[in-house]
Amino acid sequence: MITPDLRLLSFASQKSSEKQRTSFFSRCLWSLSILFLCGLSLFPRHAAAELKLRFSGALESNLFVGLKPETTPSILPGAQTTSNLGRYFDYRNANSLFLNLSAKVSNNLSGVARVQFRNINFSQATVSSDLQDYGKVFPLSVRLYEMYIDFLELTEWFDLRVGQQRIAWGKALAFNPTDNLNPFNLENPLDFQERLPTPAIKASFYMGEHVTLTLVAQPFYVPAVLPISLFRDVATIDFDFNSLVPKGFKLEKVNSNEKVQQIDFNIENMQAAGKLAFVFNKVSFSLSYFWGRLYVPVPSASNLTNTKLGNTDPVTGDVNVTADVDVQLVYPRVHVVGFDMSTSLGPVGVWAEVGLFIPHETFALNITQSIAPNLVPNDPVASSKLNPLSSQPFCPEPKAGEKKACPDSFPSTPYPKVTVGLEYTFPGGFYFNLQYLFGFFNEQALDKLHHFVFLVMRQGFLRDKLLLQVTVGGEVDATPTSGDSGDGSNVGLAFLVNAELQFKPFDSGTIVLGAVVGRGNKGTTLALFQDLDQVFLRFRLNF
Amino acid sequence: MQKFLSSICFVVLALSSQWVDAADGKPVPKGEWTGILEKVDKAEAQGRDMKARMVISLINKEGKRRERRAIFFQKGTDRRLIQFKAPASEAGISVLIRGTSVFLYLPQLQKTRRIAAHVKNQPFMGTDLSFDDMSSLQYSKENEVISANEKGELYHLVLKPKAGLAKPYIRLEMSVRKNDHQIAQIRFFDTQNKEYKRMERLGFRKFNGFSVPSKIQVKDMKSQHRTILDLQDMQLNTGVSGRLFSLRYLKRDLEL
Repeated sequence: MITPDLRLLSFASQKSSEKQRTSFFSRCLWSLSILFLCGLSLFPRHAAAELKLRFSGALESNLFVGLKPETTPSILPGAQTTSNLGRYFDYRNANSLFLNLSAKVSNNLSGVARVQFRNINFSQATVSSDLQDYGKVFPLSVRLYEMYIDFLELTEWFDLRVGQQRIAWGKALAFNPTDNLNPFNLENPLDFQERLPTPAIKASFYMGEHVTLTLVAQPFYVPAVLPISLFRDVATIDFDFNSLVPKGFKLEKVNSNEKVQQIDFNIENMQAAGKLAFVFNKVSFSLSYFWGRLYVPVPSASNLTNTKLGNTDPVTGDVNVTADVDVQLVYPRVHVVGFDMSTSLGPVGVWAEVGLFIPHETFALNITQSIAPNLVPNDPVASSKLNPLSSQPFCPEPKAGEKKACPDSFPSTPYPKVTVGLEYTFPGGFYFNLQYLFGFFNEQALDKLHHFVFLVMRQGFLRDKLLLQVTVGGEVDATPTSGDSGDGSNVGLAFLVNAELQFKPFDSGTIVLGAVVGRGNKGTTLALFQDLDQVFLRFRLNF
Repeated sequence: MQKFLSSICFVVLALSSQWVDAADGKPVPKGEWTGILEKVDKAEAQGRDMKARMVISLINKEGKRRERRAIFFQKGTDRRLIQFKAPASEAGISVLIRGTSVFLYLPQLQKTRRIAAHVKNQPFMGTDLSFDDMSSLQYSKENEVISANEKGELYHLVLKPKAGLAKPYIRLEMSVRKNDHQIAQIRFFDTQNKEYKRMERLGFRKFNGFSVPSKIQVKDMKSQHRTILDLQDMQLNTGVSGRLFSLRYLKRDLEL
């Protein structure tokens, strides 16, 4: 509320020989003040009537219990993998409060903010003094999810949205090669649909009923939230270090330390995209273009350090060697040209989505080694002689007809990612959708793309109070490095099954009981998730 | 007491005579059948446009009730827009019907999906109506009259889907008010010739010269579950913009 300036009123009480003039002037001022106060009394009421505030949100509690055994059998007989990567996911509880605020000033101006409060459940108290700190004992994470302003109908055909926002493109379900404006949020690694809203300016131009042009500018880059311990196999060098170790030695362990590229905040690192969407003859089409960076990093360089000799294997007589590897992870720039469509073929819904990734920069793998480790104390010459790792260049240029010793981690060849799918609901309500994917979200480069099929089946009972959904995913790795041996001699296979039973006892209240199991050969993408075998329980209240 | 009971019986009989088998009553000349159905479609459009608040009550056979709230816009004979406001789990979900195309906006995914034909016969948002029911604004386009009778204040039409159209019903029995050609009742029959759904329109009111039902009740005859659509704050011919019925507006927080 604006407070009137009372000095104006005191001015009217001056004594002077110019009483007449003052009197007239003061009368004017009084009149103006009264009018002003009357106007003020109207304005706040008018403004208050325009502004509509709405609060909504959700409370959610999740409990995850890991089921992973010590060793995980491969689906090929005789092969096994061991991993303790599932430790983090063995048992955890996540409780969240989602708060949404919607402020509608008028039909043309509104804003939305969404905040998530989440408890982490891992105490950060390490010393006794930490026990005094509530935040250390019971840490809480506050996340700004979305915060944007809508300027609607700036002209009859133009809308503008500015702020932190989710811009969801693509017609396929969950796996969208053309959806590149928001990075993945894989805090729950099995939730492939979750994305991070990011700051952007989105301009939408409506050219008639059936044609929409959308232009987006993102001022800076935000990487994906990745469970790196799970994706370490992807993030580390695709290189067999054992090939560096001569006879008599065996590389027992490589400790990888990944450093992530810091993307500077400057105009060169802006991202941009555009999409033209139209409907023709009951078919919805989109053509899109994205200029920006990948959200899943690729390794570009690796430096071996701290090579150490260990015990001698009593069976083979080989000397065990361990080494540390510093890996540089980068986010390459790409152009993505996209196309998608959806329609019905008879009663069946169908869609297709293609993203052609054109690398703007490539990264050739570069492996180096730091100065010779001190294998023999105070004797660098002897240490160098004893260094079991080759003194030759690790990535020599191949001779004519030979393959590269170190494959490019991000080559220049464009590659497509494709999703096609269909869905149908039978009388009685049994629903299924089937999708084929070429290239998972973490796979980059043509010779690294695998084939996937996902089938989702859903049946409701008791008027959808009870909903049973089963998702089955299958993978075929037919790349040159497929199979447990990694030489392409065997096709790699993997599967993932996610079953959920959802119970809605009341409106806005949901209880979900679910389980996930996955298995796969070495090198398959779904095998990355086999450490996440789990049962989970979710409770949710919407308000 | 006897007089009172007689009156009650008379009223019950009078009311029940409205829903007699279509085979009863005086036959309507065949040349008038299509004309009656076209007048029904015209009455369905109710002037140029309409908007209203909708309270949707879902009542099971035990009488347990759940409620949904939505706002509803209609323009002409081929465009409808429904946006849910409550309960919280469904707030923001919007449905746009444009001719035979149906679009669904899901705020959780922030995506708009075109509803394929296989969904059209599925329950609409958990109600006893289907998506097809919600988009059926012109019965004459999808059905043909195979018999018609008149009795008292009503026409009784029997319809079947036109050739080539996939519908969940094999036959509709439609009761139409003679004075305003408003639909009073529709009975839906499946391939076994069993009635599986019944829609009744109640509480007709006069609005700017148009007769409009304030309540629509749909009953699942197998489960005895009912859905009641209560139209409130109804406004007709207020100049609802045709632009509203577009994907652009589907994502917005709309108000009456």
